[in-house]
Parts: sequence; structure tokens; C-alpha cells
Amino acid sequence: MPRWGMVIDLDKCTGCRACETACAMENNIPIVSDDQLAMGRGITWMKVLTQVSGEFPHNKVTQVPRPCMQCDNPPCAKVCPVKATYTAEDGIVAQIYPRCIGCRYCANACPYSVKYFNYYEPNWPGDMRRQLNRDVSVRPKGVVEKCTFCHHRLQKAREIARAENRPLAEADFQPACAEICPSKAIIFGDLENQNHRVFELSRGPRASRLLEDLGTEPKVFYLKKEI
Amino acid sequence: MSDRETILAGLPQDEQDLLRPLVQTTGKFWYAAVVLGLICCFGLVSYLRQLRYGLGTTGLNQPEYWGIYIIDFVFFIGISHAGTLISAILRISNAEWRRSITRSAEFITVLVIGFGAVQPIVDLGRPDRALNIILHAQPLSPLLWDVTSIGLYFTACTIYLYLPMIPDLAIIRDRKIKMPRFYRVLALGYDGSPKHKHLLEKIIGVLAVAVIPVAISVHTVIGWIFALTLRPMWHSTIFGPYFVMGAIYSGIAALLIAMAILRKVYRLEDYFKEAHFNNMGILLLLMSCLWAYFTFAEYLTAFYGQEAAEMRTFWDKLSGRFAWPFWIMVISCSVIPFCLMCRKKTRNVRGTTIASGFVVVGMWLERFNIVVPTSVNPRLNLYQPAGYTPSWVELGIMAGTFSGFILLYMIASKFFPMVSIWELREGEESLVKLRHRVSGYLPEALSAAEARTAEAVTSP
Amino acid sequence: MKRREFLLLTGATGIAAVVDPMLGHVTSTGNSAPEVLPGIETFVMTTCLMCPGGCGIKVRRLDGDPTSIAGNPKHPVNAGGVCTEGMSALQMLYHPDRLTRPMKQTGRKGSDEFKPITWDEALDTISESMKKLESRKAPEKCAFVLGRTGGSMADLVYHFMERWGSPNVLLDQPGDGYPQVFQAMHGLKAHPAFDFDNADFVLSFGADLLNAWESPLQFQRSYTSFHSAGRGVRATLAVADVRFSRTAGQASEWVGVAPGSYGALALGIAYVMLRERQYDFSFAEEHLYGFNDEEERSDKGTRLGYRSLVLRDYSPEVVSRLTGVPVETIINLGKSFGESPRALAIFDENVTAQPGGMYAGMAIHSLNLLKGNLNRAGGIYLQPGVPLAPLGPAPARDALAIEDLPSLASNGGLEIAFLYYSNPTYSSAFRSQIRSALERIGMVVSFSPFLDETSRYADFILPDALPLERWEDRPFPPSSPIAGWGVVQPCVRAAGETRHAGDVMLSLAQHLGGRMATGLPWKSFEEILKHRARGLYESRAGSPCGDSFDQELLGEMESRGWWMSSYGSFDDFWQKLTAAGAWADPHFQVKSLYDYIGSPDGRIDLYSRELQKRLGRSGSAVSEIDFLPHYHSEGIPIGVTDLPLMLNIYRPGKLQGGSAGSLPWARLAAIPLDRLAGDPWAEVSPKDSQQYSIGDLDWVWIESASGKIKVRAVISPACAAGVVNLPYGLGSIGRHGKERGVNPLELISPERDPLSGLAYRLGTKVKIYRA
Ligand SMILES: Nc1nc2c(c(=O)[nH]1)N[C@H]1C(S)=C(S)[C@@H](COP(=O)(O)OP(=O)(O)OC[C@H]3O[C@@H](n4cnc5c(=O)[nH]c(N)nc54)[C@H](O)[C@@H]3O)O[C@H]1N2
Ligand SMILES: Nc1nc2c(c(=O)[nH]1)N[C@H]1C(S)=C(S)[C@@H](COP(=O)(O)OP(=O)(O)OC[C@H]3O[C@@H](n4cnc5c(=O)[nH]c(N)nc54)[C@H](O)[C@@H]3O)O[C@H]1N2
Ligand code: SF4
Ligand code: SF4
Ligand code: SF4
Ligand code: SF4
Ligand code: SF4
Ligand SMILES: [Mo]
Repeated sequence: MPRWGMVIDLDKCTGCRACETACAMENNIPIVSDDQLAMGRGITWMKVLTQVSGEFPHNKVTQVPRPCMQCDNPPCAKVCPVKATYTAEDGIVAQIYPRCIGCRYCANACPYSVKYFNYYEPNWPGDMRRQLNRDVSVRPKGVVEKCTFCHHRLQKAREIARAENRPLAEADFQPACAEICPSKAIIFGDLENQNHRVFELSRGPRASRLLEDLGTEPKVFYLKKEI
Repeated sequence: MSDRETILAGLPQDEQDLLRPLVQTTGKFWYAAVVLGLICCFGLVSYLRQLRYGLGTTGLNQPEYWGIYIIDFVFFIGISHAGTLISAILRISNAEWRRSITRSAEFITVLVIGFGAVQPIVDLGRPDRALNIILHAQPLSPLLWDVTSIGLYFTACTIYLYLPMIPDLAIIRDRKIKMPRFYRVLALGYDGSPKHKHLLEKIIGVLAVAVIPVAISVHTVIGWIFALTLRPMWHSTIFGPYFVMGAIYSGIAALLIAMAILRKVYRLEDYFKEAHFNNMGILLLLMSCLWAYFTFAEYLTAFYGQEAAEMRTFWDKLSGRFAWPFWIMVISCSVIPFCLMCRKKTRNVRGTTIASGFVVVGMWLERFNIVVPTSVNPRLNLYQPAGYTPSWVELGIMAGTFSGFILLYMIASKFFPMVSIWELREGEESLVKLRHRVSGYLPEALSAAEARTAEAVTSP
Repeated sequence: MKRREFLLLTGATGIAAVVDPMLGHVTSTGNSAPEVLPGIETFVMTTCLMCPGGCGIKVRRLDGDPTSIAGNPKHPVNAGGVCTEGMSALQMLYHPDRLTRPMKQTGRKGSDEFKPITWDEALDTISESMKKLESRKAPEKCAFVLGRTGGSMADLVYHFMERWGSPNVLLDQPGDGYPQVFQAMHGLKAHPAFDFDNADFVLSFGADLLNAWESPLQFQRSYTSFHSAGRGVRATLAVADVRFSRTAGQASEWVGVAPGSYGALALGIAYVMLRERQYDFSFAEEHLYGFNDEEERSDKGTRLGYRSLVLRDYSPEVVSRLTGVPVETIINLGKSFGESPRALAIFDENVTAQPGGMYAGMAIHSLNLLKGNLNRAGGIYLQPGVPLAPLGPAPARDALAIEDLPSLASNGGLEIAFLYYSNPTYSSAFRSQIRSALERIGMVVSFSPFLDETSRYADFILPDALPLERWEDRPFPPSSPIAGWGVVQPCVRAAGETRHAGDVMLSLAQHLGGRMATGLPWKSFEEILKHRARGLYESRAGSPCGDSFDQELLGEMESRGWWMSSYGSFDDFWQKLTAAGAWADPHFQVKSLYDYIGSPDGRIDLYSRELQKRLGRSGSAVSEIDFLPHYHSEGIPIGVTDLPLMLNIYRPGKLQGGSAGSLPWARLAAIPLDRLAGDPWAEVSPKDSQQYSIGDLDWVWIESASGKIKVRAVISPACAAGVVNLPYGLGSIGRHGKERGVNPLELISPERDPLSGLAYRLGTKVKIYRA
């Protein structure tokens, strides 16, 4: 049973936020109007958390791309009263939009604040609906959503591999953010598979995870800067 | 003078006093009722708007996911501990002074649970799917435990309100002062015969015991809803007891206010006596100390942990954006009630009512200070802290529910005596019982003299 | 392909069953039904036109609609990456504010009273009035403004105008000043290519290389290879900037400099290199002119050389005073730059687009010259041209700039003007002059797909098809050491009645008939591209982009004079080319050093003979250092000096003036914090915010000698005291930009650099106060 995981190399990441956009493009993230954004209702399954510190010219910047950590021990899933968020096959924490009652308990329970709530019916100005990815459902108002590790891509990759009867290779299943990253800073694969790059990287000396002490066992690893 | 009132005039004094509200209604009542009714309508309109456009109409955002509705939920369910729990405890410890106050208390409970229980539904993004909680129940979720215990609590309380009311309903039925059919049905053919009476008292006794753990479970679980997440200042072991204690505290306060009002508007001065307020005041005093103790314990632990995430929320409360609500809470939950209640002189009707007013406000703020500051301060320090300003929709719904509760309480007082007639009469009997028992311990001489005075007292 | 599609189809449906309960591909209860459409998936390899970067992209189409954009992993420029603006091409494609049919202004210019007309009407009227000009023997009264475009579209325009007989092609392509600097020093107008991949020390002056440089992803790709284990030594990125830009954030050496003082910094670094004798002696002796003091033939004593000038005027102490950079930092920079065998210094328009910018550019480039860092790995190359078949006899190109429009248009000089990819009334410092010029011109024709600031002053708008809808080409950016040709091909049919501006030019030629018809015989722009590609086919060099391995091999063979043709016919070649999306020649023929030098004596000028000629001619009183790189402070600040703060205009997340700024994704990625959404902002330093008692996110006025704008103050540690950082390009057109954006250019007075001709965008002083 594969255990999909992500390694993000902070030494390569330039904070360009292309991964945010790629995710929005791939997963039909609704376009949130300016005033809603200003209210803090933006939806970004992938968010590059950025902090500039220090007085000019002694500045430092921290940039941490943040998808869902896909915890092996997800606090969010435990509290959902209707099992609308739960650990699906391959350890990916899934959302069942049509079942979610929108209590936002999971969103509060997530220590990484990666869950987003649809405050309004999503809308796409003009023809922009035609951009939507038909492999991913559009979420109605009132439900919670989050990064799914592009699970729909896994489904497709599996089908193809099966049809061409061969095992699933690392290249077959890459999420949109990893695919787009101009710096190749996002590496994705099966954490348990020796042949996948994440196997080594996630076990290497530079690897660590966010809020590790909470025991949520995230499947997203960060390689620290080398400078 | 209408025939009802002629009947009323013919009744014994206590029945006259306690049944008068059922037959006489002042203009003030109607005035108040209309105002409250209008506010309710506004609340309703607000909710319809929210239903139509979604929770976008609130002031909530990411990650500030819970606001007014959840605050009110915790607050209301807290208040509900006024009646049942208190009256049950007093019954079991058969504190004689309880007799005149249990009824009004139990009414608060039943009504307020209702209004509390709807809050989470109002808060749902998809109320149309509320049933999924049963259809797809996920046993590990504290939210599910909550639904269960509140459901149980509500049923228990309703029965516990209803049963002790039956003898009074029977009285009303017999006196034919109002809606005979209605009361005949409710009275269940109770005829006050020793057999009936005995049975009734037995059941009440059992219920009183049974209802206490349920009541405690309810607010414990509500505490757990927060405590079982990993969020700073929520993830705390004492939240269960802390919430129960707070609930009882706010309950007592609410009850005191209700008593004071009933006393004034229905002229029940010699049913709600200074003595009652004094005793309740002592309870209030006790609770204010407990509250201070728990709160101090809670914050001290957080502070000594010095965990970065905890401290962000901690300081945001003590000296940051939430300093005002925090310190107002502290003052009105501990300082003021303590100072007023620790002195006999101020433990009177006025004093207790004022203290209770502060406690109720303070306890609402406590719910606010628990829900909001943690929500707006994500655990991961890479986020900017969020903010929260409730929208008029939220405030409208809040106003609506509050006035809805008061309105129903007023209406209830028009159909049911807010003081238990029969239990008061029981009180006389237990007076005699008591005398016999006590005199049994005394030397002959004394008991003889005692008996004589007793004659003097009992003979009309 | 067929098989794969089929699989995907069955896959997709097969999946539906599996996925649905999982991720909710199910009609949910309630009012909103998420759509589940059968997805037949196809891909188009094309080239991004959202910026000059020239990245190769792979567009995914479902049921014929482009739905996502990924990078072309085999493309030498971006190797699979795409930036937010690139992806935003989709939102531009589906933008609600697109113009979908030709329109004619019925009211006076700027009145926004347009009525739709047919293409024939439009072309007839336009060709009629052009013919009138011709009959009056005044073809030059017709001008064409060429905005940010390149490749065959530009060639077509030049060719068209050449044939037509008008020299008036005006460029609206604000450059970075390199061609001017090369003209002054190398004696030839060229834009250098930078071999970042092999450099071990990259020193950037004001170029936000990762964010808004000419080819941001070319650099981001190289930046990754800086770090890759395979590379052995880790390259150093040093950034000198007035703002803590995103590139600065990634730099291992980040140096904050005072606005306009980078020239001094460069010479301070040169000073250290000269002192430490860490420069290429032989190169200096053989190939540099004016390095040492020299005896003038005409006995005027000795002529000051670069070396003496630097050692005289630019000691670290002095430079430190001018730039605010600590002495030791200057010395360390100088040493590490000098020590690194493959050190590369680079600048962009933020250096040159202000008074003295030309000298600053020369100063910075002189660092490369001191290292003799030309024509070798990790250094500066000149990209060999792509062997495309010409459209005809190469037209004479004398560069007029958009800023010349007002003078040209004065007293009836122009009667017809075409605007292509250009929005100067928004993006040029000469906005108001240009606007009134447009008002004076009898017939203004814009190809803009949006009703932008400029097309509102047009009489006809002939909406162009967007990049994802049209045939075009884009040679690799000049900054890329690999020469190549990106193909742009349609992924979806053009919206409404929009038409490819190139096709429109061709049919206009047919309408005009005569020499125009015969000179531009092509039926469509696609034909033009095929015609040009024949040049590649016959060049017996390069190939459609394969994976890096093929490329290696190919280069290897070529260097030994082999060339393996993998295709039989031209059609086969064309098919492979369009499938690959780009053609590249990984093995650029190593030119001799002399190809980098225009001057007869084969020397590169530190002492610019070009400037000597020009200034000599202009007769303006000159001193000898006017021909040498130096720190030129006069002219800064522009206009009045009593204003306390220096204005620095930067690109937040590389936004174009108008087009990208109105696209939700692009704007989102540019906004520093969501709470600001929709409001214009400026960065203010904590110190200044105190001094002028401004709170975070307060509304403030920023006022210069020429105007004032209202923005929200963001108190930012990234901002230097005494500087206001103002974002440029947060959108002008469309629902998503229009109402909100303010234009920083309001604050800038219209002035051009006498040497480079660039319009000033920096060096303006402002004051700031609470609104
Ligand atoms: N995706 C995308 N990419 C683009 C564009 C786009 O629209 N979208 N635009 C393209 C175009 S047309 C161009 S011309 C380029 C422009 O590319 P750039 O000119 O590199 O982009 P800018 O952000 O305008 O400027 C970069 C830096 O110059 C700094 N700077 C300003 N003044 C000074 C100074 O006096 N001294 C020093 N040392 N630094 C200074 C600014 O602080 C800023 O950080 O970007 C290109 N890249
Ligand atoms: N203060 C300040 N001013 C600046 C700059 C700065 O950094 N600071 N940057 C300068 C630089 S370097 C540049 S390049 C300019 C950029 O600024 P602009 O010239 O505004 O560049 P854009 O808005 O990208 O393109 C111009 C017009 O092209 C049109 N257009 C977009 N797509 C298409 C298309 O597919 N076909 C056709 N025919 N037209 C299209 C758009 O409608 C737009 O109005 O701004 C310059 N001005
Ligand atoms: S796309 Fe890559 S480089 Fe850009 S922010 Fe995301 S992870 Fe970092
Ligand atoms: S919001 Fe939806 S997914 Fe989250 S806990 Fe509530 S029901 Fe479960
Ligand atoms: S990161 Fe948050 S949402 Fe994702 S699995 Fe962990 S707890 Fe759940
Ligand atoms: S894995 Fe997929 S869903 Fe998750 S952030 Fe990346 S693109 Fe978005
Ligand atoms: S850098 Fe420029 S060319 Fe490359 S993807 Fe981004 S916008 Fe397109
Ligand atoms: Mo530009």
C-alpha cells in the first residue's frame, strides 16, 4: 500500500506562488471577490506562507508553501460528526462535499489551518467557467474543502497504469503544484517506495515537518535552507 | 369583575396570589410582548437572509470559523443549568427553602435548552443536511456526543418540569379558572389521593437523582468540543469541570434575575423572600470563588507552559486586542459578585440582582473569550492573526433568540403558576413533621411546653 | 494518441464510480450541482506570450476548452515551469471584459461611445483613407505603434510599413538599456545573453531576476541548478537593490543601496578588484580601450583612463558614503566577485531608466569586462540569430520610440496611427502628451482585445485574438544563451468575431492592392510561419526541442560538423515542430570574440568613443569623464528637491501594465496580504511611518511635483528609510482591475535620458501624508 507524501525543498523555493495558482487552476478553486478577500475569506489549498523580518537592509524572508499535511493521524478527521473528512486509501485525507454539513469543526481542529469554508456559492465571471477542470467537482456553498493531493490525478494514473498493465511509476502521479514548480522545489511520491525520490529525502538530515511535536504525523516534509 | 376573577377571589390566599397571573394580564405585559415579538421577527428575517445567501452574511472568515452562534450556544446551555440541576440538588439535600423557587428555575431550563440547541443548527453551512448527523453518525466526534447528551438532557428536564407540576395543574383544572379541557388533559386525572401523591413523589425523587449526571455530562461535553482539538487555550484538561462550574454559576445568576422580576411584576414578595435571595446569594458567593479559582488555575497553567502558540493567544487576551472583554469578564464574574455577596447587608434582593446581572454579562463574555481569541490566532505562527466583527445578521439572530426566550418565559407564566402551590403546602406539613421529630429528642418538660406553644401556633 | 484518449475516456468514466463517494463527484443536495462532464483530453505545445520570457507551455484541452497550462519540460528556457502570469493566460482568454467584435467610435475620442461594425466596413474605411494619403503622396503620415511583441509579427509590421513607404514605426517596448550600453561600449547595438547555469557568482543590480525580469523563468530555472547537488560548488547570488525584492530574499548576499547609486557601487567593486589585482590583465591590455591613461596624439597631455578614474574617485569609503553600503560589504563584494572565476554582473531598466542610468549601466558592465567575461561559460554571450527565412528584403529599422509620437503628430504630421500591443496612455511617462497626440490624429486604429486606456482614444478597435487563439512565434529571449524559436499555435478558436491582428494586416494589404498585395502575398499568418520555418528546415542545424539527452547528443554531433536529420519532408518537420512547440539550437556556434566588438580596432570601450562622437557633435560642454563609466548624480532627483522621500516603482509579482493586472490569479499572487485586496498600496519604512505618523494600512497621499495619488500604506521592513516603494501594473482594464488600480505614472514627470533615450521611471522625489 503506497503512502503518498510530499517533500518541499525550502532551499530551492523562491516564493513565486506558482504552486498556489497551479492548484487553483487544477482544482477549480473559486475566484473570491476583492471585498471577500479583504474579509479574509480567500481560498488557497496551497498557500505560500511568507514572513519578512529584520530592519532594512538586514532583512530575511521565510517562505513556506503549505498544502494539507495529509496527517497520518489527522485531528480533523476525528472530530467530523458525519465522516465527511476521513483518511481514504493511500493515507490521503479526503473530503466528501455532498455529505459535509458545514459545521467547520474539522477546520478548527486542524492545527495547520489548511481547511477552507465556502462562505458563498462559488462564481466565475463571464466565460471563466470554461476553464474548470472536469475531473474535479465544483464545491457548493456551505461546505469545507482543502488540498486533496490531487487525488483525481491518482485515480486517472491508476486507470492508465492498469490499462497498460504496468505498475504505477513516480512520474505517473504528480500533483499540479509539483508539476508546475519552476524551481522543482516540490517533490512528490510514495514515502515507502525505495525508487521514489521522496523516500531518501524525507529520511535525510535536512528533513523536518511542521509542528512535529503534536504527533499528527504529517506526510509533508520540508528540507531546510542551506545558506 | 369577570366570572374568572370572582372565582379567583373565592380561592385561598396562596392560590389567589399564584394563579392571578393566569387570569389577569396588565397592559405592560402586552406592551413588552409586542416589543419582544418584533425583535424576534427581525431575528427571523436575519436568519432567512443567511439561509438564502449562506454564512457569507456573517462576519466569520478563515480561520475565524466560530462566532456569535457558538458563543450563544455555550452560553444558553450554561444558563440551562439554572433549574433542573439546582432544584434537583436542593431537592435531594431537601433544603426546605427550595420549595418556592424550583418551578421558575425549571422553566428557565427547559426553554433555554431549546434556544441553545438551535444555535449550532443556525451555525451550520448546510442546515439542509443536518440529518446527516444521524444518517452518517461518526461516533468519535464530540459533536455527536453533544447532540446525544443535549437530547437526553432536554427530555429529562421536560419531564422533570412537568411531573412536579401535575398537582398544580389538577388544582387549576378543579378551580375551572381557565381552559378546562387543556388542563384536564395535562393533569392526567391526578386526584391528590395519598396513592397518587406517593407515586408522584417517588418518581420525582428518582428523576432528581438521574438528572444530575445528565446535566453534568451536557456541559462537560461542550467543554470537550473545544478541549479535544489541538488549538491553543482550548486544549485543556480542566475545560470539562470548568464549563460545568461556569454553567451552574450563570444558571444561578439567571435564576436570581428571573425571581427578582417575577417577584416584582406578580407581587410575589412573600413567596420570594429576602431569605431566599440571601441563600441564593450565598451560593453565588461560593460560585464566584470557584470561578476565580478555576480561571486562575487555567491561565496559570497556560502561562507556565510558555508554549509560543499558547502565549500568542494568552497575551492577545490579557493585554492584546481582547483585553477589554477579558478584564470586564474578570471584574463582573469575580470582583463585583464577591464584594456584593460576601456582606450580609448587600446580600438582599437588590444586591443579588445587581450581582447576577454582572455575572450573566460576564459569563457571556467568558464564552466569547474562549471562542474568538483562539480562533483568530492560528497555531502556526506563519499566519497573520485574523479578526472578527459580527455582522448585523449575527447580532439580529442573537437579539431574536434572547427576546424569544424571554417572550416564551412570559407566556409560560400566563399558563402555569411560577411557584409550586402544592410543594409550598407540603412545606407546612414538613413543618409539623419537623416539630414532632425534634420534640422527640427533648426532655419531657421542654417538649410539653413546646407542645403547648405548638397548639398556639397550629390552632387557627 | 488515439489509444490513450480512449483509455482516458474509459478511465474517466470508470473513475467516476470510484471517485464519486470519495471526493464528491456527485450531484450534491441543495441548489448547486457540481458538474461532471466527460473529459476527452488533448494537449497543445505552444509558447507563452504573457511576458517577454518566451517559456514553452503545454496547454490541456478538455472538450476543446483550454483548462490548464503546464510547462514544456523539454523547453530550454523554462524546462517545465510556468509562472502565475503564464497560467493567467487562461483567465485572459475567458475574461468577461474582452472585446469580441470590431467597433467604431461614434462620439469624440475618449467618449467611450462605440458601435459594433463588420470587418468589411472597418477594412474598407481604413484602406480608403490610406489610399487617400497615398494619392496625396503622403504615406509617411501613417504610423504604426509596435508594443511589446517580437518575432514575425514585428517583422510583418516593419515589412508592411516598408512597402507602404512610411518610416514611422514607433516602438513601445521600454527596454532595459542594454542595447544602448552595448552601443556605447562595444560599438554595436545588441542585447547580451547570460549563461547563469555555469556562472558561480551572479551579481544583480536592481534586476528582480526571479520576479519581473525579461525572462523570469529562465533565471528561476538556473537558480535551481545553482543548488543542485550535481553542480558541485554552489553558486552565489548577490543582489543590490533599493528594495528587499523577492530575488533579494533568495540572495546569499543581499545589499541594500541608496536609490540611483548603483553606478557608484559598481565602481567601488571595480576599485577593490583593481587594487587586489583580481581582474583579467591580458584581456584588459588587449581588448579594452581606455583602461589605462593614454597619450593623446594631439599633445593635449594624457587622457584619463578607467583605471585611474576608479582608483581616484571610488575608494570604498567614498562609495560607502554615496551608496550607504558599509565599507566591508563593498570590499567583500569586490573580493568575491574578483575571486570567482565565472562572475557575472547584470542590470536592468531599474538602473538605466533614470538620470545617469547610462553611466551606471556602463559601470556595471565594466565589471564583466574587467573579468574578460565574454564568450565563455558562465559569462556573457551574444545569441546567434535564428535562421528563419526572411519575409523579404530586410527593411531599414531606425528606432523611433513611442515618446516621439507627440512631436511626429504635431501640426498634421500624422493622420493615421495603428496601435498594436501598446497602451502608452497608461504605461508611458508621456501619457498626457500621447493622449492629446492621439486626439489630434485623424484615424487611430487599435488592435487591443480590451477597452484599455489607449483604445478608448481610438476611432476603430479591431480586437485581436489572444495568444491561446492564434498563430505566432517568439524567438527565445535575447537573455537566453541558447538560440531558439518558440511556436505559438491556437488551442481554441478565436472568441466571437475577434481576428488575429496579423491576418488583419494581410487582408488590409489585399484591400490596398497594388504593391501591398503583391508584397504581402500570404493568405494567413500561419502561412507566414510555415514560410519562415523553411529557413530552419534548410539550415541543417538545431531541431525541434527533444529531451535534454537528445539535445546534448545533437549538440555534440553538430560541434563535430554532423547533423542528423530525423525528418523526411518539410511537412514532417513542421509536424514535429508544432508537436514539440519550439525549435532550438543547443549548440550555438561559438563566435570569435570579435563578433562582440563593433569598433575597427577590435577594442571594447571603457572610454566610449561612441559617446565622444555623439556628445562632441551635440557640442554640449563636456568633461572627459563624460565618456567613462562614473557615478552621475546630477539630474537626481528629477524636478523639485524639497520633497523628502525617494519614489521607487517596482513590479509586484511581475504584472504587466494593464493586461495581467486585471486577471484574478495574477493579482492575487501580487497582493502582499489579503486584507489589502482591491486597494492600491505603497510600502513605507517603519521609521518614516513614525516620522509622518502613518499607521499600517492607513490611507495616504503620495505627492510628487507632477501629481498625487491615494494609496494605503503598508509599513514594511522591506522598505528603506527615505524611500517609498510603489507597485506598478496592478491592473487598469476590466472589472477586476479598472475601478481599483491607481497609476504610479501620475507621479512621474515626462523626461527622457539624453544618452539612452529611455523615459525616466525612477529618481522622482515625493512626500507622503495621511489622507
Ligand atoms: N510575468 C511577467 N514578467 C515580466 C513582465 C510582466 O509583465 N509579467 N514584464 C516584463 C517586462 S516588459 C520588463 S521590462 C521586465 C522588467 O523587469 P524588472 O525591471 O527587473 O522589474 P521591476 O520589478 O520593474 O524592477 C526590479 C527591481 O529594480 C529595483 N530598483 C528600482 N530602482 C532601483 C535603483 O535605483 N537601484 C537599484 N539597484 N535597484 C532599483 C526595484 O526595487 C525592483 O526590485 O519584466 C518582464 N517580466
Ligand atoms: N512607472 C512605470 N511605468 C512603466 C513600467 C514600470 O515598471 N514602471 N514598465 C514599463 C515597461 S518595461 C513596460 S513593458 C510597459 C508595460 O505596460 P503596458 O504597455 O501597459 O503593457 P501591457 O498592458 O501588458 O500591454 C499593452 C496593451 O497590450 C494589449 N494586449 C494584451 N494582450 C494582447 C494581445 O494578445 N494582442 C494585442 N494586440 N494586444 C494585447 C493590452 O490591452 C494592453 O493594453 O510599462 C512601462 N511603464
Ligand atoms: S512554485 Fe515552487 S518555487 Fe514557487 S512558491 Fe511554490 S514551491 Fe516555491
Ligand atoms: S465541516 Fe464538514 S467535514 Fe468538517 S467537520 Fe463539519 S461536516 Fe465534517
Ligand atoms: S493538515 Fe489539517 S486538514 Fe490536513 S490532515 Fe492534517 S489535520 Fe487534517
Ligand atoms: S497537491 Fe494538489 S491539491 Fe494539494 S496543493 Fe498541490 S495542487 Fe493543490
Ligand atoms: S515567465 Fe513570462 S513567459 Fe514565462 S511563463 Fe511566466 S509569463 Fe509566461
Ligand atoms: Mo518592459
